[in-house]
Amino acid sequence: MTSAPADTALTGLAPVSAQPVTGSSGTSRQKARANDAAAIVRRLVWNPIVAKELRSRMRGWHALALLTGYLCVIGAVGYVVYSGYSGSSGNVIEAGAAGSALFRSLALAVMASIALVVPGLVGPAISGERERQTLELLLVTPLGPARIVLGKLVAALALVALLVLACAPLFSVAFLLGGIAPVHVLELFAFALVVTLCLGSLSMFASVALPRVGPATVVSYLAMLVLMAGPLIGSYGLQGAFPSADNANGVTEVSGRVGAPGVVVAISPVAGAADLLGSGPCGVSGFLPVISPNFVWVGGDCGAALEYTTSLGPLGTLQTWQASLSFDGFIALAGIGASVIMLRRREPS
Amino acid sequence: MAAEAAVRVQGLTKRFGHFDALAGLSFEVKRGDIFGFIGPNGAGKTTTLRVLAGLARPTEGDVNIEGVDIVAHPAALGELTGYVPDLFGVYDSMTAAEYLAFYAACYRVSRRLIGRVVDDLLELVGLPGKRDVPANKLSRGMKQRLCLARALVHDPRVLLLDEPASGLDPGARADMYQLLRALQELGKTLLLSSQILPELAEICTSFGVIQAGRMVACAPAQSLLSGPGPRRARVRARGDLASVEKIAGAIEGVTQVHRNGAGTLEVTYEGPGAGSEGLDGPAILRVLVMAGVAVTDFRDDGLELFWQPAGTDRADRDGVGATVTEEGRTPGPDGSEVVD
Repeated sequence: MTSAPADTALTGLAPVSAQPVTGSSGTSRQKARANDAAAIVRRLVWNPIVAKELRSRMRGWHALALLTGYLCVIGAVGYVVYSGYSGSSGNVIEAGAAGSALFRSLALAVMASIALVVPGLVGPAISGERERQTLELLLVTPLGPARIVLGKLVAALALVALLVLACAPLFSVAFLLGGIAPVHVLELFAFALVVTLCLGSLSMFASVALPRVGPATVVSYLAMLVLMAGPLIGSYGLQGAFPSADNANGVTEVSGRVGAPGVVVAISPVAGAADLLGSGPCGVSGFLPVISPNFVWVGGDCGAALEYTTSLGPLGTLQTWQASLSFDGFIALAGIGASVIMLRRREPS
Repeated sequence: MAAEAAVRVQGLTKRFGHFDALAGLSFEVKRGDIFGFIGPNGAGKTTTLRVLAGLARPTEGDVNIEGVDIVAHPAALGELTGYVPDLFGVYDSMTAAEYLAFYAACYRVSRRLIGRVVDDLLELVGLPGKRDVPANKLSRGMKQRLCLARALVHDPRVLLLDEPASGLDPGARADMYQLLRALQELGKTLLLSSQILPELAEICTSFGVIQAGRMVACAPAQSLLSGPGPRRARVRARGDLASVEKIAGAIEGVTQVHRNGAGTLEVTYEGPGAGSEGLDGPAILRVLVMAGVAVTDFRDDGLELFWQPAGTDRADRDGVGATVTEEGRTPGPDGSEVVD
């Protein structure tokens, strides 16, 4: 059983990085340079954890069941909204408005599902390895903490991306009805990507910090709730601390254009999503001034020009969804960096 | 000497808060050796292996593996060593071949070589028929061999194995030892840890006995296992002397236990080292009797025992005779170095 094979790869194997590139002619040198460049690219993107995680997640019936259930829910949301715009004969009245409403409701459903799915996917990522007693085996490989964290994150986010892309046929119905510009879709996907990264990085930090899957997942969901609701509640609580200002244009502006609450509320992806998908008091984001009276409102009446803005003080003013995207992007980077540092410093007891 | 050392550890200290898990540990392992790292629970075996594997940073001291200072160049460590922890898991959804292929990719083994490496390793560890079996369906012994194969995917020069035979039945243990010998024949240097010397006696070429973070004996196997006997050791015990007498009397090869009074027993040991019951205390006591080592501060079940070779007559710190030469080192059997 245990006699060493005569021609075993075991005795002569060298890591790829250590294999010399040979060749003396000009062509060989060019090939060698090309190989070197390819090796550098491979080295940068090389992460076997992504492939392993995706293979594991997509194997068996769980992924299929998740995808089917998810599409059923999103489809049901779309059907309910579409039905609301249908006449008794089944014909769609005001196709543009129907398309716009369908798009917004589908997008909101997707955003909500991202908020619910990401903590559950990423929370167990590292804590699960630790609980399974495989984390040390990964840590002794040349992968390093950064690639382990990024590999786990990318694999989880790839599954989320699959869920979002699987909704494309439903979104196409909204396009058929009209009322949606391609730029809206691009903005939505950019925002969704950053929010997913932000939630994923917070969950990853919980996963690195906590030793067991259960607590890590619970804390991941709590972090999601704090990120979503915390800024809105905090902004509401802070409103008394900032003086009100009259708006010369007579537009609804409760407590002033420049003030912390407006900035604080933009941290929440809820505010960003509402701004991105809303159309002022006539649309889905009409609830924002109710939640946060300090929220700055500029513009006239309901329409495309109507949008919330957030003052960043000396940095100027951004649309709220852009400010939210910036804040959440920063949180995502900070969360990933903190996870890598913590995993590097954390020593087994 | 240094050129032949695959592993050289000098003054290794690892501190957790105020607790010194390792207190100035020093030893060398020659290239191609199977080095047995013996000691009771909490002695520092696992901590030492973790430091060597790069999972823990030393507080103080130098660690060289194949001439590379791993404290200064930790990135080089992954290529040099293969580590098998005492407790490890497998991925439920992976087959044995996928498991090895994944780790081969982690170690940057070329994609075109991975298939061959996996096949060779499964052959080497005796699991060619389990290639497509989910890893979690394998028996404990098979998982142990699979994990050993995992540690070999990048062809490391030094293997660190933390209690590789623990929990295995005698048949699986014999298979494991046969496999370790095969790896030695391939030129690997192996460091194995165990709580029990006889468990490793049949395969190790040298031993180190660790106690409370210090190396108390480090010697070639033949000098540790087959020194001249019978040997006598005087034991000074605090606590229940009758229990110590009972423990010492139960050790295989101990032919006489004589109570001298003043908390001292004189133990006579004769016979080869075999058949420990697996108890930490007796097993280590037996190792020490065989090695003729003087050890202080050996704690087991609340008893504090002070061992010393029979026939020594100088006083140690508690007033009991001990042979102590310069720098606190005493010569062991056939000149091997013994640290007091």
